[in-house]
Amino acid sequence: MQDVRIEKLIKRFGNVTAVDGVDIRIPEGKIVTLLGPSGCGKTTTLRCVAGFENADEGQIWIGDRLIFDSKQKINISPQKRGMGMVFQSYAVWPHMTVYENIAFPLRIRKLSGKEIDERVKRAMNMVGIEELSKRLPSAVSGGQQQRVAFARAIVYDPAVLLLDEPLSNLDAKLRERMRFEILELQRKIGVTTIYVTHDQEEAMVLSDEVMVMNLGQVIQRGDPEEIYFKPSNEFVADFIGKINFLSGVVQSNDEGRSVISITDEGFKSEILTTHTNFKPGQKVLASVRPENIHIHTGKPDETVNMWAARLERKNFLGGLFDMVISVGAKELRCRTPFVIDAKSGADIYIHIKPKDVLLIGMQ
Amino acid sequence: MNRIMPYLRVLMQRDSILVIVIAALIGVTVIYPLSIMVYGTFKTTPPGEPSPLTLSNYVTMFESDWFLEALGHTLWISVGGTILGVFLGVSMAWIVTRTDTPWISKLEIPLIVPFFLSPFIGALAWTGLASADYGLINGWFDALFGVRPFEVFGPWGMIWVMGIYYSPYAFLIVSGTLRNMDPTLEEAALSSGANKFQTMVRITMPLMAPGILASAILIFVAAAEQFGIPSVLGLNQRWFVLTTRIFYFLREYPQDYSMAATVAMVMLFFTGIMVYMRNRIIRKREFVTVGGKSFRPHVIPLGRWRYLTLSYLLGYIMMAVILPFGTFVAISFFKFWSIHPKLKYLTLENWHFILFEYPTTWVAIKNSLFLSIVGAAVAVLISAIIAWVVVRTKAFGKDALDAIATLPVAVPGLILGVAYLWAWIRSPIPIYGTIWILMIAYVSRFIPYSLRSIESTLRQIDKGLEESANISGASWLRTFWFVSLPLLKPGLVAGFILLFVTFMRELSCSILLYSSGSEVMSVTMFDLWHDGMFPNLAAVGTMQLIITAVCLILFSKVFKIRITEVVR
Repeated sequence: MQDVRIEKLIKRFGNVTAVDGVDIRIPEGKIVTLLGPSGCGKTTTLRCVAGFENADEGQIWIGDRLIFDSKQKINISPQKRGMGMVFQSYAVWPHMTVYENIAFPLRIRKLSGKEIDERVKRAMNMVGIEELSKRLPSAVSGGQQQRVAFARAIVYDPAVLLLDEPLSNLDAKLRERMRFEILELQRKIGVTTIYVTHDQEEAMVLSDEVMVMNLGQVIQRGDPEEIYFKPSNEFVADFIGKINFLSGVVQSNDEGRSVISITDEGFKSEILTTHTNFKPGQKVLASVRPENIHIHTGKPDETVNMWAARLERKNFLGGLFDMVISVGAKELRCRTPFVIDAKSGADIYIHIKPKDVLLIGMQ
Repeated sequence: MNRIMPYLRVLMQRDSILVIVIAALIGVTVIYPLSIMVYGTFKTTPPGEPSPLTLSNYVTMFESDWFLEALGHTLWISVGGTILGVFLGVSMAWIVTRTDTPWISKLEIPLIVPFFLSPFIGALAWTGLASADYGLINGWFDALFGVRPFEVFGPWGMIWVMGIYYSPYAFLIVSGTLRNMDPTLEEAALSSGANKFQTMVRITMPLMAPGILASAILIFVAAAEQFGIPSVLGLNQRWFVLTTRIFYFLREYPQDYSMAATVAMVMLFFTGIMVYMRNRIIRKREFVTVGGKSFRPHVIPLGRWRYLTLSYLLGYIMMAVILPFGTFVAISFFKFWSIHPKLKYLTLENWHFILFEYPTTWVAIKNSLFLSIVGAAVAVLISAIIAWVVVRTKAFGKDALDAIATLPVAVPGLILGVAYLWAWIRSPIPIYGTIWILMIAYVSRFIPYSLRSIESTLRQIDKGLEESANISGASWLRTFWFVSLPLLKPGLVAGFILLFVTFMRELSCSILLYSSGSEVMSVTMFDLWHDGMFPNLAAVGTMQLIITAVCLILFSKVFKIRITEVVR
């Protein structure tokens, strides 16, 4: 198994810089996800690693093998990079049977018929499609085609596995199931994997490490919990899950507590937080996830971070309530699995635990 | 009475009436003549005269030398023309869609131009270029090397001309396939370890195969039913193919209508099978290769080879367009055309003759324009109605209507002409000898071509657009006129232009059905060729090209479309 290093990669398309100085390392045997909205450069970065796009600047290493270097004009062709790739459209060849699709890379490598048969059967077994061997792709479902693409990508034990939004063409339930299967498969094989997606739930489930990207740059990197609980800026906080932002200024910061005075229209109050990463006088976004705003129909016992509010809208999502509440003129999103016995327009109280108030620097 | 009332009610519905009316029209214009022709194969007397039924025609034909010879010749040039046409078309499609050959965007239109040209004029032009006696290219070789290596008369010349003028069919079909192919199919092969060559052979080519096969059959059928090219390049040498044999039976004295019909049956049998096979292939092996993401197919960088491929493309345009048609136009200005044309023979007298003295010129021009413009419009309108009935209604018998309307695809032009002769040469209905028999023949024969494209355009238009008009209170006629037709406009215009060009250059049907007063331009050229007046016919041909080009430019301005969209 080998690690992958992408150093200072830059790729331009005309005036647009799609990849703007991406500098990351994917440790051997781990899954790293490039996560971001459309156009953030994640797919272009992946395709540079695969060799289908030629970056303008930078280096790409697999282990200690330099496969791309803009200065020395090194650019190993895709077929010689020894990677496996699963495409968003699966790219399963319609004129070959499932067996032949998976056997193709082994035939190219001129393995013996017996060895090919062994490996193909093993790969099909691993993804659970043994019985589809003689079928044509048009005769199998989307989910099954995806497994064929997967089996084909790993059948020759590649050093690196590249996955380009492989689940986005599947329906929601199948997507959820496949996430776990991909994770299990990767753990079993142990191949270094780069996963590209815009679906942050997927990224949370699958990744050892997440790189959040926007506008061609890596905005934050860390494991899923870090990204979720400690977003480093507004973009990451808003992209991962949902979040409420309250603009404010740090008033004081001592003994593990920080007081922020909120400057938002209609919500002039102070909020207490246990996060002490900012100094008094600094402008911050006090950020609270919807599931951390607790709703009470009567006045609660807590006095810290407690406000009177109004329930504006209540939506039942089947298992969860998604609500819009207003404190003064400020609207906040709120989520809870518990039934709240109040109708739209009712007066309620909310409270937020200080540890749940994240501080993010204002741009 | 009560039992048949429901059926009567169905029949009286507007949709059913449409189906019946149109089916009747097609029945009269296609099925009836063909049936009479089949009947004629069992007779030994000309149409209109009674005779006992017999199989003697078939027996004579199958036992004769001339039949096997003509059949063999037909297969020879059809196979040859197909191989050349497919080779040229596929190679050019590959170069244009998959390499970094320079000037490709500029060459797009010139490469499609041969599609609109008349292969008949192409053959005539090539005699001026490559005939052993007076071909210009032979003249150049003669001056430089003292040899005259080329002879365009005969089978190799026919294969050459058919190949270069039918290759656009393969080019258009295959380049469409290549353009729409999902590039990740090839990328998956590359990332699996295959090099570019292996990817092309194992992935790209198999995916292209259905398109290549379909265009091969298309070209084969077109080559087998060709009349103009084998008549120019073979009649005088008495080198016959099936179509020229049929013509021979109708032109040489004594005329043998029955034998002509018998040979026609054989041709009909084969073209029918080939068209059936082609439909089966298209339906069965249409691999869905259209891709999702917007990355374009990989272009292969050729390095120095770019200039070779560019020369290849330019060479084709030279051979198909510039050389032959340039020469053709030039010939019209020469008193005599010889292997080393002498400038002292430059003259305007051919043009003078054609424009002011030859009686049929202006009649032919008028007839050609009338048939092409009115005929194309009528054909397109009827196609639109048929398409609408087939795609949008649940009328009784609509699928049968679709099948009948598409039937003429399997009927070569010459054969339809023979059938029309049998049906109407002695008929009390006075359409033989008028321009209307030509009009009916053109329209009924070529409806399938516009029908196909209009049907597919209609299928892509959301039904809701018409339904919302309906629910707002518009009758079906209003809806059709104010909503359906305008939405169909691109398909209708494309169909119209395609048919216009096809009608202008039509020869194989016209040559049998014309008479004094209903000549068309290609028939005029054929007669002049027969009379040995080569420079004069060059003038007529040049006029046909100019008129067609001017009309195309006018149409594209009036209808506001680009010519390249017509063939997509």
